Amino acid sequence: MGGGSEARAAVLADVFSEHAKTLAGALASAGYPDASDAVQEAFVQAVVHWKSVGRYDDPVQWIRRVAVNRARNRRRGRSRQRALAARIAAQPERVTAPPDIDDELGHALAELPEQQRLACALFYFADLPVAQVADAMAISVGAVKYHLHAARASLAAALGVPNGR
Amino acid sequence: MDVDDGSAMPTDDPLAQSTRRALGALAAGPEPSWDAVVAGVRRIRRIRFAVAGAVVAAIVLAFAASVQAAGGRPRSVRVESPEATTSTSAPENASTTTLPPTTTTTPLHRSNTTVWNPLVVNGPTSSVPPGSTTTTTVFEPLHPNATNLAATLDSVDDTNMTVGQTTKLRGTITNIAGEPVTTQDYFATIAGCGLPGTTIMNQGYLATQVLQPGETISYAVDFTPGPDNVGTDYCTIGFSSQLPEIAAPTGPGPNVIAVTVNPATSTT
Repeated sequence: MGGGSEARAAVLADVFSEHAKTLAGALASAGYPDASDAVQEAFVQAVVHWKSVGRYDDPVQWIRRVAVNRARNRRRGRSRQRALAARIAAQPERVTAPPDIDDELGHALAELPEQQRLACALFYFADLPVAQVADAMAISVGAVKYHLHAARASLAAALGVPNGR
Repeated sequence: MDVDDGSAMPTDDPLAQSTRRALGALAAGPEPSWDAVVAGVRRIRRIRFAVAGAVVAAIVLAFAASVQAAGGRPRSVRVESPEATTSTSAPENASTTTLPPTTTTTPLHRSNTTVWNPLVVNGPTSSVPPGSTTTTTVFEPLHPNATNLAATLDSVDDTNMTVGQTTKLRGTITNIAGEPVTTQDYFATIAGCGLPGTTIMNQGYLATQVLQPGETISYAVDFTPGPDNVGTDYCTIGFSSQLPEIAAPTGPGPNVIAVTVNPATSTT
């Protein structure tokens, strides 16, 4: 990867092995396509810009935010491609089949708005504190709590269970 | 939209546990690969190197093109002193071309400085894509003088003439300057014949041509003697300044050919 950057690559490789899989899983569970590619792109940017990123208090937070943005961009890009293909082919838009969901909660999660689902994925799947979820989503802590409350309310209603707090 | 009631978000209640399980099921997919990250970094660096190389190449090509367009080096025109003076000087390159002394009067309205003289004139033509514009900057060629041009008078077709008869003076002109030189401009290249002590006027103007560095052209100009030329005329080639005339040679010499001009025979 280049002579002087081997040390940085080693540091980032450790960060990658510790966080990449969880982050990709959270983004995939939040419904983003190509979540792994988005995470890989975020780490590529981290390596390329490590001179700046490495000075941040928490470079991993920067990587999470970049990964979330990349995942969002990829989803928007796919939506545009589908719409364009549908227009060109004069055919109804085809939606990629969602992964098999074998329970009601899975269906209920898939139906959540994007922000609520992402907040749930980062909070419950990646086990991030609310503050880090807020940072990754580039929203306030209060907004994260709002999305989590709303998501829990929707999931509880779908399952017919009390939203215990 | 902000909600921050201070309460902790439940993380281990039944709903949270169920949500975790469901999210885990949805998280299936390919795992990110560090090798892919390394490959991505290499790809970006290759692109950066390629872009940097292209920029450097473009700069070098643009510089080379500008140097070529300027004829190998920046062009300048040296003009004479603003003070009107009259002097007599011999040509410098006497070894190859010896010209008679030339009376030179420098103009009053030109400064004694070397000036950049870019002109947008008849540049090389090229096909231009629609919608685009090009400007070709061409520098004015140097004016003719003994420093820029080496001229020879090699022959006169008929050296025994009668008034009214026409002959041709032939020779060559070579650009000995490092940049293009015109044969005619504010100063002029004149070939002609005259009696000693007279001036050769514009009878022998050469056609205007721009000679590239090292280029040699042949010339042939007409000489038709009048009654004032009766006698032994001396033909030569030289360079004028300001006035379109050069001094006629006073006698034989290099680049000087004598011509006998006889009076026209009367038929009366």
